[in-house]
Amino acid sequence: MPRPLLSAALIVRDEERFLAACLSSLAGRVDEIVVVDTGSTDRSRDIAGDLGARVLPFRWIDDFAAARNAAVDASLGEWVLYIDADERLVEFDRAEAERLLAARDHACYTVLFRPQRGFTRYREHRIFRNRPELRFRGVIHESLIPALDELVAREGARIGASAIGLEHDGYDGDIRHKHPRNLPLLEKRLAQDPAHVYSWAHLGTSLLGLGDAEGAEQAWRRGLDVVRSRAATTAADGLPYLHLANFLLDCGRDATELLDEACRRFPDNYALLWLRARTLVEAARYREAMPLFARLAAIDPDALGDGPMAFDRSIFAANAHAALGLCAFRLGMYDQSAAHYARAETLAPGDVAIRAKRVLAEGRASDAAARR
Amino acid sequence: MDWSICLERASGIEIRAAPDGIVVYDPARDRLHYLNPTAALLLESCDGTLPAAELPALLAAAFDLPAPPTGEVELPHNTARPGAPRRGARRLTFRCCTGVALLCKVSTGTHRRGHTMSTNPSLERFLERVEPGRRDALRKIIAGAAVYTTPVVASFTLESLDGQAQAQVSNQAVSVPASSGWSLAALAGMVAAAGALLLRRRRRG
Repeated sequence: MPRPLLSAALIVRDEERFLAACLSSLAGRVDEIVVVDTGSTDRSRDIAGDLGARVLPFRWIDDFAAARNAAVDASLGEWVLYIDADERLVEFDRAEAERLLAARDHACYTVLFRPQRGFTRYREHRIFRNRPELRFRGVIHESLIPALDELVAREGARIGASAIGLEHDGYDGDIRHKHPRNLPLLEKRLAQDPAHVYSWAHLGTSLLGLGDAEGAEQAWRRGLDVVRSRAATTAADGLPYLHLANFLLDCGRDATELLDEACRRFPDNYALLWLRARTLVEAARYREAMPLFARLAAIDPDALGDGPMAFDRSIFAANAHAALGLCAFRLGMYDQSAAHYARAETLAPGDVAIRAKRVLAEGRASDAAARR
Repeated sequence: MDWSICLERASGIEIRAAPDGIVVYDPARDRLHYLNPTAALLLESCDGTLPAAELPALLAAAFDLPAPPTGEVELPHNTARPGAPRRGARRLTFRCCTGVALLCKVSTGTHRRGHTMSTNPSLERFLERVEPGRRDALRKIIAGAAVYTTPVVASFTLESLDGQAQAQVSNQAVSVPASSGWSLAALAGMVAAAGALLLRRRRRG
C-alpha cells in the first residue's frame, strides 16, 4: 500500500466547539488525520472519531512540543500539515499541493495564515517533510524552525511558499481561561531561553490578563532589554514594544520615547506606526502625523500576506484616510481634508462618522472658497 | 419630563446640510452629530420659544401622522429639569435635542405622508406659529424626507480614529543570537531577571 502523501496532525483538549469545523475543512484534502488527545473531558474524541480521524490518547506533561511530536510520530504521510482545532483550512488546491510536495529538494512549505478575524495574514511554517529529525522544540510556543534551520544548513534543503490558506478562530473570544495554564509554561520556557522575546511578550499579556499590571510591565520591559542587546531583530521583537506602548497609553502615561525607539527599530511594524501617529495627533502635531498615516493609507492590506507579521486591518484603508482627513482639517486644509474623507467614505461606505466628517470638511472648504 | 420647557439651539454650533439630514459640529466639545431629517426638524424647531410639548405635534403635522409620536420625542429625564430657565441653559437644550434621538426606541415602522408639502393643512397651520425666518429651513428639511422615521442622532468626536494597534507574529519565532554587544554579563542579567520574576510569582502564589 503506498504511503499517504499528506497527514494532518492535531493536538486537542476539550475542543468540541471548534473541532468539527476544523476536521471538516480537512476532509477530502488530506490523506489522513491524526488527533492526539491530551485529556479531553468533552466530546472531542467522539467528534474526531466520527469524522474519520485516528485518535490517540497522550498524557499531558506540560510540554506542547512533546504532544505535537507525538502527533507527528503517529502520522504516516510523507508530509505533515500541523493545524490546531480552532483553525480551518480555507484555501487548498489538491493538484497544486501534489505538485509542490513532489519537489525533492524542499523540506517545508509555508502557508498564508490569518491569526484572527479582521487581521491581515502572515506566513507560517506548517507543512513539513515527515522526517524524524524534523520535530518541535519548546514547552510552549513550540517551534519547528530550529530543526528546519539545522536541516537547511546540513543538507541545503529548501523552504517554499505555498498558496494554502489557514485561518484561526479560537482567540477571537475570551481567552482568560488559558492564562493560568500558560503562565507556568511561559516561566519554564523563559528560564530555559531568557532571550525568547515572544515569550516575554506573551508573559506580559498573560499577567495583565490575570490582573498583575506591574508584573506585565516588568515582563515587557525584560523583552525590551533583550531586543536592545541585539544588532539584528525579528518581527516578534516588536511585540513587547507594542504591548507596552498600548498599556502605557491605556494608563494615561507617556509612550512617546518608547514609540520613537520602536518605530526606529521596526519601521515595518504598522501597528507601532499607527500608535505613533495617534500620539502625534493627541499632541496636536498633525504635520508630523500626516506622513505616517499617508504610509498606512498607501498599503493594500491584502498584499501583506507574505510578510512575517499580521495586523488589525482597521489601521489601513478607510481609517488611515480618515486620519489624514482629521490632520488636514486641524491644519485648516479643508479641501485636502474633504478629499481624504471622501476617499475614506468610498472605502467604508456605511460609516456614518466618516460621512459626517466629509460633509463638515466640504462645508468648511466651500466657505473658504467663497471668502477667496 | 417637564413638557413646558422651551428648547433652544446652542450658540456656536455649525450646521451643514447633508443629502439625508444635517451634520452639526460643536467645536467647543469637538462633537460631531449626524441628524436624520426628523431629528433635524426637531433641532431646527428649537428656537427658544417652542415648548417641548409642541414637538410631537410638530412632527405629526409635518408628516401627517395619525397621532403625535410623543414617546419617540420624550427627552431624557436628567435633562428635562422642571423649571429650567428658558435662556439660561443653551448648552443643556442642545444636549436635549441630541439625547432625544439617542434615547429613542428604534422604530422600523414608517408613516407615508398623505399630503404634499404645499397642501398639508396641518403643517401650514403649524408653520404659521413659527418665526417667519425659520419657516423656510423647516420646509426644506421636511421636503427632503419622504417618510417619517424615528428621530436619530449619531454622535462622534472629530478626533475619533477607529484603528486598533494590534499585531501578531508566528509563535514559532525563535531567539535571535545576541550581537557582539551581547555580553555574558548581559546574559547573566537576563537569567537573573527571569529568576527574579519566577521567585516573585512563587511568593505571590
